Amino acid sequence: MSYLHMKGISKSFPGVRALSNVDFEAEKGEVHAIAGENGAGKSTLIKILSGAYLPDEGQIFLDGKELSITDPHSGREQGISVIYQELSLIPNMTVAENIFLANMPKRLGAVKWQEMRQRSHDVLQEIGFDISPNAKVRDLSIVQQQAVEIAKILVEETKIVVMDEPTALLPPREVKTLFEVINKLRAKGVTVLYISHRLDELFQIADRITVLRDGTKIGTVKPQDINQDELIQMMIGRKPAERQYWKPERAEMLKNAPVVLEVEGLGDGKNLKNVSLSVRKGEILGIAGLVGSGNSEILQCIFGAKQAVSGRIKIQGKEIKSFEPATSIKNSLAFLPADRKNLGLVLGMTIKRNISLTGLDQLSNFFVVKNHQENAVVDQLIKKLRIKSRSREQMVETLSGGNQQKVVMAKWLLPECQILMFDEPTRGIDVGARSEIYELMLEYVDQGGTIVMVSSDMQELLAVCDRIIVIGQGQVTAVFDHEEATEEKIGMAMF
Amino acid sequence: MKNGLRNFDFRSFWNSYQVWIIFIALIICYSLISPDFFTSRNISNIMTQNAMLVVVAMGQLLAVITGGIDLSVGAILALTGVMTAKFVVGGMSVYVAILAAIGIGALAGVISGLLVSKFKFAPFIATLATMVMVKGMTFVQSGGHVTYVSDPTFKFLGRGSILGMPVMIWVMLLVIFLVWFVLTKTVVGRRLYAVGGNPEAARLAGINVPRYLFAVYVCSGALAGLAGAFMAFRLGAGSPTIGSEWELDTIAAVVVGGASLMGGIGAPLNAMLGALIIGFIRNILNLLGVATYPQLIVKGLIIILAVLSQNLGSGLIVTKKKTGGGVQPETDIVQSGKE
Repeated sequence: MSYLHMKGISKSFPGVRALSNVDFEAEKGEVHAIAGENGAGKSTLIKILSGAYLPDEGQIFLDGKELSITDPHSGREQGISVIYQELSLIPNMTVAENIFLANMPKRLGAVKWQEMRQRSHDVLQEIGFDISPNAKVRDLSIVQQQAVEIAKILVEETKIVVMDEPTALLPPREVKTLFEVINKLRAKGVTVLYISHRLDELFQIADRITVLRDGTKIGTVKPQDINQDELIQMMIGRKPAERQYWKPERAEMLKNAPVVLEVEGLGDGKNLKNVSLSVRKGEILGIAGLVGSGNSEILQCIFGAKQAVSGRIKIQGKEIKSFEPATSIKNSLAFLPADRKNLGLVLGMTIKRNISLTGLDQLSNFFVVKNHQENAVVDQLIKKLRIKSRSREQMVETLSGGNQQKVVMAKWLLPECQILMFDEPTRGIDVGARSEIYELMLEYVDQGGTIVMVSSDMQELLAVCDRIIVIGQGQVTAVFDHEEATEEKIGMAMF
Repeated sequence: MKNGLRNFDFRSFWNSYQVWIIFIALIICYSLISPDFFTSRNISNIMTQNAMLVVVAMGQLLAVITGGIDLSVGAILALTGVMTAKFVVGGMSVYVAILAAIGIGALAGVISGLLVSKFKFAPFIATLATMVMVKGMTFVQSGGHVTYVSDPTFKFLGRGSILGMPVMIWVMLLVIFLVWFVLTKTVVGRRLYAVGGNPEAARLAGINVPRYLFAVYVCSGALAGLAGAFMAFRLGAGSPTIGSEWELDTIAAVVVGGASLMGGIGAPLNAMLGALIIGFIRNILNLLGVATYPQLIVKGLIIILAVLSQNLGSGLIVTKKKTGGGVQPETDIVQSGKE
């Protein structure tokens, strides 16, 4: 029998069968990836393992013994820990305090600080990090914070570690560091269950991959026996859509298109030093760069979400004087932030109210909202962007990531913005929904719109962009037309 | 949400109408305790007693929707009451005095509004400072004395009726209508909810967030000023001690009415009912001869019960099974609403 065996696991929620009779097995010291679309049952499976949910049916065996996990605390005590996307560290406490939070070494009730610091230091060294145990967690980078979480797990002598989207917020360089840590865990005999939307990562780090779809297990495969397309096919149950969205005739079409957005010498006084770029009508311009290179600041500064300290911006040949969201919108610029939940949407409002928020001026008469017209326009956009929802009155917080992004798009199509600026257009959106977003982006430019997008996903840039500029240390280091762009060239230009 | 009788969902019914249910239950209690409750005279009486609480609660609601709070309303009520009485005694027309009271209230709101919108004070602190200042002003102006007024118009506005309905109730209805109209029918209302629901998203949608925050405190102050004038009319005098605890009563009213102190949620008609519930409880306790201080205990309990029932109804508190440990119960509700 396997080291970890989850046997016949089923779980239902009102109206949804989240898991039905799933068998999952992992070996000691194995990195085992769990793949599947949103809603496939990955997180339910993990939550059952960690004790956040109780299964309706099924048993869990670890090392031949049946576990009885009733809540996350008992899960931890029996050697199962989860590192969630949102880290569960306490920012204002020190590294050592966080590592020993659950179990501080004590003598007569007094904490043994010296021992705590020493052991924190040792365990961090062990996984290759030189972080002071006295540092406050809030001052650490994300990968360092993850290291603290992992140290915490090692101190607790965990047998199974679940990592839920650990690289979602990591720049590429730090992903490597994280993988080194995972390899060390593997060498120590810890079993790592790894969940990620980034499929290329699964191929790099996993020993085996188990695919879930609609609450059932489709199969367990070794990465060397399968390629990415085949994996996607297992996940979505059909052949993956065309990975290339760009069409050759676009190059010809764009040749004589007028320039609609021109940026000269843009800088924010920090990461962003001096960036100039221009975009033609109908074009999709991609911006590549490492985190911290200033790439995501470009869009924020153009839109006025963040204050630029230098630079000039021309839209349709007209110079823009003030960098404020309100004036940018008047100039037909739109900004779709990477952090949709916190910046792009008002989660507690309905689809309708989120969509119409930017277009209220057109939909009103002396400040009074014209209800019928509003409903009609919103319904039209819901249909056009194929937003899956019960009605326009559904709360946006109950939508999936892909549909939330569509609502954000609809919000900017309502005032007929001519230039959409996407920051990470598909972050946190699963494979199937991604292709829909790309299709919508292409539809938009085919109808005369223009797109500027920042992305850390190179395959995405190569799939949709007409032109890609690369940012390194706050400046443009290279520009590639679609035909000449490759991952290697872009990667080289980043450093 | 349309539910046939067959799949009647008590939870969603309770969520949508709980303020009404509580209100009706309260009226039934009231009529049992006081047999002549349903006489038109009595109803107009108790409505008059609570009309200004509703008016001030409407202002409070605006602040709460933006995620703020206005602690200065009670103090403004006292100051504007005193000033209205003094103005009229000094020979000013009563109608001009009303405008002056509104203006003074708005001015106090300007202070809070500037502190919140321009200097980024937490609303609690900004309006606390305004409250203390306004309280001081009230005592400086009045010397702690009540200013009696014998002007007939003054008395009429406080006690008289137009078309068979007390003037105070007309004023209340007018204010409710205005606030309801702005919040539910206009662009301004839409944006106000967005500002409260997610200020950063609102800013990125091109909304001038500070302007809305500023406006909210000015409106709340102005409404408290209007209420201050009418409380003076009702008493026939300007009293510096009136309005104590009105800030708490109005906050309680909007919360009982289902508004969220986190901002973004709150309906004007529900807030009106919330204010009437708070007011009626006061009336009932008076009727039962409960002394002032024990009344406070009851009021506190009612607020706790109201909010508790909202949280239970909305699934904010998970009752059916343990969630244990340190993991947030983001639970079944999220799951079932998915895709």
